[in-house]
Amino acid sequence: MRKIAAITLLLSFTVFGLTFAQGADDPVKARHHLMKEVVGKNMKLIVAMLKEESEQDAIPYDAAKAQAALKAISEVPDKFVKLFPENTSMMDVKTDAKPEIWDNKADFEKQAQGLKTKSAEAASVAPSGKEQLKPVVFGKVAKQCKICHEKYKQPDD
Amino acid sequence: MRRLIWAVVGVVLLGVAAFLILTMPRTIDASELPQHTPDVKNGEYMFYAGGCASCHAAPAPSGKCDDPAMPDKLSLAGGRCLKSPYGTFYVPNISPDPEDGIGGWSDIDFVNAMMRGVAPEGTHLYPAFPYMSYQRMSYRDILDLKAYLGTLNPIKSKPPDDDLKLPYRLRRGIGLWKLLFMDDQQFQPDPARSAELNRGAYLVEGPGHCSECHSPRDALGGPIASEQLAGGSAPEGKGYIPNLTPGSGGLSSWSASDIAYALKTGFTPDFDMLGGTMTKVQENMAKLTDQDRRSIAEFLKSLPPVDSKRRATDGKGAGQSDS
Repeated sequence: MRKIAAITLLLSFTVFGLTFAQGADDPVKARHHLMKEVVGKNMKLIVAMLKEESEQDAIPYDAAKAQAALKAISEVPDKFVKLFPENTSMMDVKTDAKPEIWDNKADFEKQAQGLKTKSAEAASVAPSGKEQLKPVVFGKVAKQCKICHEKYKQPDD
Repeated sequence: MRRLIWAVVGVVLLGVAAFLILTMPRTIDASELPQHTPDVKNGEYMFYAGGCASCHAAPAPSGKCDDPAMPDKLSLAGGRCLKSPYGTFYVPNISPDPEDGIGGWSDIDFVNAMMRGVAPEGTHLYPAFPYMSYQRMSYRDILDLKAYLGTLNPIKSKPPDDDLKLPYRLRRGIGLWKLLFMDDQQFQPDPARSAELNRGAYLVEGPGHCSECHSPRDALGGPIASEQLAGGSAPEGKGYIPNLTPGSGGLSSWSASDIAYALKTGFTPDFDMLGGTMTKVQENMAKLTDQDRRSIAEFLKSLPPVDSKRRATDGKGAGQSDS
């Protein structure tokens, strides 16, 4: 009985310990997931809808789907900025987040807000149609993506 | 004893003479240039294809000299700093100002700077200025570019001198580097390739100067011809620049359409964005025609596949997912 208790305790501590060891990884994984799975996948869908019918990978424009996708993107920034508590660029963790994020926290958060407002604006334009949405997505939203990706993200390689 | 001293002095003098002869700037003669009425519109196109603004546009006045922000792409006052393993380079003023810029340069002055890395005074330019690539350009494209630059605003501004580490401070020494690595060859279209592929090759190897970042270099900083565009260390010293060949770690999973689309919009096939220093390059590439972007893409897909020689700690290759 004591042996079982001891082993259980040991296993619990191990699992507990491992969870904490992953602690620093979690914000990295979480923010990565938001960008890749939420923003990336939704952008892919939106852009496919905005292509000319004759283009490869074009899909028919669906205002409701486009709006939902843009809304999903607009919900990312608030969650995203909370995932940069510790300066992971100083830690032995694999991350694309550059140290500039922590050096310029205020600007970083301002740019995140920019994504929120611009994708929300695009979401409100989506029901007006494909041609109206194009300049907002490519002109405003994509431009905003670039600002952060240029300053704050290590190119993905 | 005295004879020995004279012998040593003699050897040293011979050495210096040999050095000076070997490192003499070699230039193109003005008679080589064709009669040509400049096409300013093409010059503007070459300005974007060549990415001149990315280095030569003045940085934001309130920011640091290496701040990526570029308030006015057409204000070519220079002053941006490039921190490299050799020291810090300060980009020159190429606005048409006659004293601080290149307003006083003749056509052949400009051609020799672009294609031979020699300034009008006869001094070598550091290969941070990518004349290794620009030497591939046609005289017409270069003359058109000069004409376009001449239409921009002249700006009075003298950037600081380069602040380089000791051996590299000897500007004349570049002459040796050039002897080793420059072939003085303009682009020669390959008759076995389609016109589209040749155009793509010209844009990549000439004005695009993609190799300057995307190709590996040897210990002397020279390009490794057999590994063209297979990726390399970032010129500013940190990070890795992707492999653009179809080899492992390169663009094999990207179609030509994907590449052309990325150059046009910045979006990768995963809807990540071309980031970091590539952002400005992409903004320039976005100004080219769809056809030219397509040609560049087709050319990249046609390159001999070279596997990335990166270390495991460098991270994943372009186009591969990161989760």
